Amino acid sequence: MQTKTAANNTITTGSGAQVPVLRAEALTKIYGSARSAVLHKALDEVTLEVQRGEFVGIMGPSGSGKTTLLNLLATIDQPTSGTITVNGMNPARMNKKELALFRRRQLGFVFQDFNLLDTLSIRENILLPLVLDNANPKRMATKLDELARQLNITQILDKRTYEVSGGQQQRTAIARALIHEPALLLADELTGNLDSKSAHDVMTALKDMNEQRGATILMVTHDPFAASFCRRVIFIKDGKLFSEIRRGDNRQVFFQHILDALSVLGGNFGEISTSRN
Amino acid sequence: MKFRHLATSNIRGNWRQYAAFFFSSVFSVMIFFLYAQFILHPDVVNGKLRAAQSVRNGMVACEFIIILFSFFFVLYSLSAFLKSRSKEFGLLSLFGMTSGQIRRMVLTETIVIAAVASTAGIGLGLLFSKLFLMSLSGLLQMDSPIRFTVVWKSVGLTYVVFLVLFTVISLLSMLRFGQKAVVEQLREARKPKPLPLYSRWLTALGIVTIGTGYFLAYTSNPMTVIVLFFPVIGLVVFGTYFLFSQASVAFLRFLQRARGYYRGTNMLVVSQLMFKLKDNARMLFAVTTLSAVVLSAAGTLYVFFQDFKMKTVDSFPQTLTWYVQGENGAFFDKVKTYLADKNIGIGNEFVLHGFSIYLDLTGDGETD
Repeated sequence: MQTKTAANNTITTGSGAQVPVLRAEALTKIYGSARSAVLHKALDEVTLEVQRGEFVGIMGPSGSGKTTLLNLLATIDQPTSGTITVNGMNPARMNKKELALFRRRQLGFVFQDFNLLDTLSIRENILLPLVLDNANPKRMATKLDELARQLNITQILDKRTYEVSGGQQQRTAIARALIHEPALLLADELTGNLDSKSAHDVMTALKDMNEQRGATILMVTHDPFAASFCRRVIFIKDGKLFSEIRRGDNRQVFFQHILDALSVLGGNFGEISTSRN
Repeated sequence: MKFRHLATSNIRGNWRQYAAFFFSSVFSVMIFFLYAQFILHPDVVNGKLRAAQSVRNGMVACEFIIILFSFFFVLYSLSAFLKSRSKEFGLLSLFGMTSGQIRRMVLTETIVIAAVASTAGIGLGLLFSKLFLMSLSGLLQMDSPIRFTVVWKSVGLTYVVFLVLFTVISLLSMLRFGQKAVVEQLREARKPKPLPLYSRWLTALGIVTIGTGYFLAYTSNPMTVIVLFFPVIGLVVFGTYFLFSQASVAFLRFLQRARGYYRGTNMLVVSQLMFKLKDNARMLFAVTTLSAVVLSAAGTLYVFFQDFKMKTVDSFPQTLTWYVQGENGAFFDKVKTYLADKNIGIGNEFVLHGFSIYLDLTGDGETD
């Protein structure tokens, strides 16, 4: 055990600046029990690496395995085969408690339907990850102030979740996902429930978090507008990696590239709106 | 914000959902406390009423039945409540709450609720205990009603019994925690509810068993009631379960096909009721059964008490003898009408005629 960890350390430190925060190797997920004849391969040997400070988008048509991939990375579902390494740690080798602590310290989550707890105020929602970790109240307050200022939600901290708009709820969720400075922020379709103005605000906020705080973000989406804020977009189809494009300086141009890539990808995207950029 | 704070704000925030759990607990505590008030009442303990010991034994038996049913009652309401929060628990474990922490949070919540519910139940029990004791005194035909006092022993007993009960129940309902994968917990909330189904056979079975139960109860006489008591209770409890879980759905499905379904708000009311009833069937069943058991137990006790009285009268007939000089038929009729007025039957009557004999043994001309 001792030697293994040491070996891991040498590998990660050996690669210098290019330490991958996330490394997924040949991830495969097959749904269907042994009894049922129908087996569905939701993910097929997906290999993926995310470097520290990256902002990666994953796009694909419905049923392409996006959500499955995200569930595996979130360690709430287990891959059929393949390994995941986050910050040099392998969640597959952890027991339940270690896994919970791993999620609490290393990961942050943002969802399409916000998933704030109605019983808590906005402030309490944001502090939740630190409360679970019994953090020092002073440290909590400093972190909260700083994040709330950057996300422009200082005025609503004492409101209840149902008193604020969707965009504000989503920015609260982003604050909650980042307050414990996780190694990786996982976002699932986070603009899906928002109007275009709020979607723009939320995506700008997320981009600022990436650029100013150096947060590493992996976002799953089927909205090309949201994806155009990423620095790199990976396309998947039928559970396999399809292609990958990187952003230049201009977001509008990148948006156009994404649309082009999607038309090559084909499949059902349903709600693409080409008008908002 | 401390960890403890999560539990209390959960109670405040989930109050609407907690209310059902809370009130069912208060109800159980109140019933238990009322019985305990009687059992441990100094007047009863010191035997100031007729048949005190046997009535008291019966009440103690009732207490055990109440505990048993409160157990299921509270267990149902707590597990229903926890199930409705499955998504919340899923989210919390996604954010890295360990199952130990979730258990601690739920335990804290339950204990706070238990303490408040026990206090409220005892308070309500005190409020009603004068009425309860008065009606019991009436039923037991006591000369003066049992005094109202706060029996501290019963307050203590109620607290201890229910705190233990709540702790056991929350530990039990926590066994399921951490068994399900987080992804399932999250999905559970999003799962659409299936349309409630019913089985014709189970509906018929429910109606038949409940009908049989009531028929047997109605046609029973004091001789057969002892034999029929448990079958009747069993049949009715069994039938009630199917009445709530099957027949209610069957009835609403019938309403859906009836004319007038598409008129006004009928459609909304009927279709919502269907889901609500199905969700609450177990709860309604538990409430019904608890009240049925308490009432039948009390009723049975009363019957036994009355029977005891009648047997006493039967086994200890009174003999009235009087002595009248002269042929006084009028007095005899007077006694008979008096007894008839008092509803007292005459088993046997003997009339002995006699006359005086004067004996002069000493021969001094005077009676000895």
